[in-house]
Amino acid sequence: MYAIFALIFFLLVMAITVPVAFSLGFAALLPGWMGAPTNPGQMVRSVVTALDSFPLLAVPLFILAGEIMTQGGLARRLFSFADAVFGRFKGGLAMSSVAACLLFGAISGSSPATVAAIGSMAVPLLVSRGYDLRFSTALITAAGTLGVIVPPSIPMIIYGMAAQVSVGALFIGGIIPAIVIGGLLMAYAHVYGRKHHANITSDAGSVSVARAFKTSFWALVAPIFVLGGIYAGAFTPTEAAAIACVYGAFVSMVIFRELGLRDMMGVLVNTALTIAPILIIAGTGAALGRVLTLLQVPAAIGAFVGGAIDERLVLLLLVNLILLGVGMVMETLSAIIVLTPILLPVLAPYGVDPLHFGMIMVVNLAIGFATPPVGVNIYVASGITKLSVIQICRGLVVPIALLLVGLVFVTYVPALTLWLPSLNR
Amino acid sequence: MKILRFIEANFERYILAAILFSLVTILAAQVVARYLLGSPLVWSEELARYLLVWCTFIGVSLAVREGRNISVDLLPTLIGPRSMKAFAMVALVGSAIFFALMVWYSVPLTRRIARIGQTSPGLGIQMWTVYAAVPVGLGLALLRALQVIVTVLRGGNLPGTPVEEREALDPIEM
Repeated sequence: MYAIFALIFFLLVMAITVPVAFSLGFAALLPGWMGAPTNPGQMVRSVVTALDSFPLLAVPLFILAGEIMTQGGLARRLFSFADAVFGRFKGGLAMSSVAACLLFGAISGSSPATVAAIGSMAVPLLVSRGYDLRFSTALITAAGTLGVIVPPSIPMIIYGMAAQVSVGALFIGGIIPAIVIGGLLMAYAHVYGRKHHANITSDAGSVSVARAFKTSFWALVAPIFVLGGIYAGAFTPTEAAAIACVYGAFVSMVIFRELGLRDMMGVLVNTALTIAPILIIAGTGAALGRVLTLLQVPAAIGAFVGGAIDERLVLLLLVNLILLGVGMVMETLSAIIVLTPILLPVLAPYGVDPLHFGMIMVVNLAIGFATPPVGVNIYVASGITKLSVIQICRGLVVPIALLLVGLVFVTYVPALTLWLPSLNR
Repeated sequence: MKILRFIEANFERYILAAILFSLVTILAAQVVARYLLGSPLVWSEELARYLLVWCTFIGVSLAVREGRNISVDLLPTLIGPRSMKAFAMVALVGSAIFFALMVWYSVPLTRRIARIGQTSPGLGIQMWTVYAAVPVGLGLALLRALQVIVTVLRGGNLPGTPVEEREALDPIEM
């Protein structure tokens, strides 16, 4: 009963636009005020304990690394490399934009940051070569979801914390699903290019792959180094994030010379402004999760679902629908923190691996980034291209359908997620 | 006066930039010590975690000043851009109440931890200095929230949301 009140209270307070983090905090305090055996001192303690976490440290550091590499010209070079590889095909520049999102996703863990970094370069270029503005904007809005599906990924780190799963294993598990989903979007870009190729100009062949590889070498090394180091067990995801910061700073200040000391101060402050709102959500969200667990909510839901559904495939479908719905209206990180302790114990008896479930959750919530009404990617894209939200949404129908196809693969072919990490054991 | 204004605008910024810089340095040093010097550091991980706690709570304060805390603006989007300011005030008052409650609850907790004298396992840091981030950071955030409320009541602009973004949220467009 207390739990239901807490959740309703959370949704109400959040609906009147009180920041998500503080809505979660109010909801965590409410049962105590109503007489449940939880106390406010314990709540403060839960917030601090949640933040006092080594895996969580990877969140600010990967965001910092992404910011440094965007400002320092690494993102631009990833894009020109992708264009040298895929530019030769019909719809090549659109395919390159998706590929650039994949590559940039491998140094950034954020979906809106990917849209901002790649979109601001790719969309003007796409339009100047004759691609439709709505198509281009929608494509990048959808491809931006790759930012969190490709490791490193902020949602994966938060899930790892909530589910007590290795963040490194989650990262490795994300590689194949990301390639599958990126491949689907690239196929769409290619088909679009074939259909409209009369209007599209291309400068394919102007830069050879070898030459592009040479100029973008230092940018391409970054993802290989970060993911390779985690995969080989040389360092933890958190250490990898710190090294990515040092590497990014070195390359952009010393090799590319596109970032000065003064810019660095701006980058640090900007990053702090991005991360604090995220981290405080992780803290108060964990406090609410703890209160819900104390009130035995996961057990109650587990008993309810266990009585109603006995088929694994149906249960996974149901979970997907819940997550898609939640992803459309709720803020991603709080959704992960609140739902993981509730849903994971429900799914475990059906033999769903926590790694696999994490991937399902991340893909679902990633799609939420690109769907209205609360799709951050759409707003970022709209800010870049000045195209209205409704226009972008019309263009998003096919790309979102493809993301859903990718979700079906990820959900019903567990091996896509589990095969790579299993090699490493 | 000039100095005060500088502090008002930059106090949290410098602390946060310094903390982030230290985080990167400490963790990079941890890797270097393990691989190049062959002697893993015992204190780096712990110090980095405590700095993260402080970074979060001080950062919340700056985020209030800059209007950067994440909220879901579904309702103002549905009702219309003219409701934006009213909702922003509700959100600020709600945030201020939360900060006040957290300061109220965290002070006795911090004092209790100080009285017990609990220390961290690696560095032997007094644990109350970690927990003190809550009353200090959110106390600062409370002041910032009141500051923004007074500014807006006097007819000033809301922090954050640039004009174009507000247009993007036009209800007809949804």
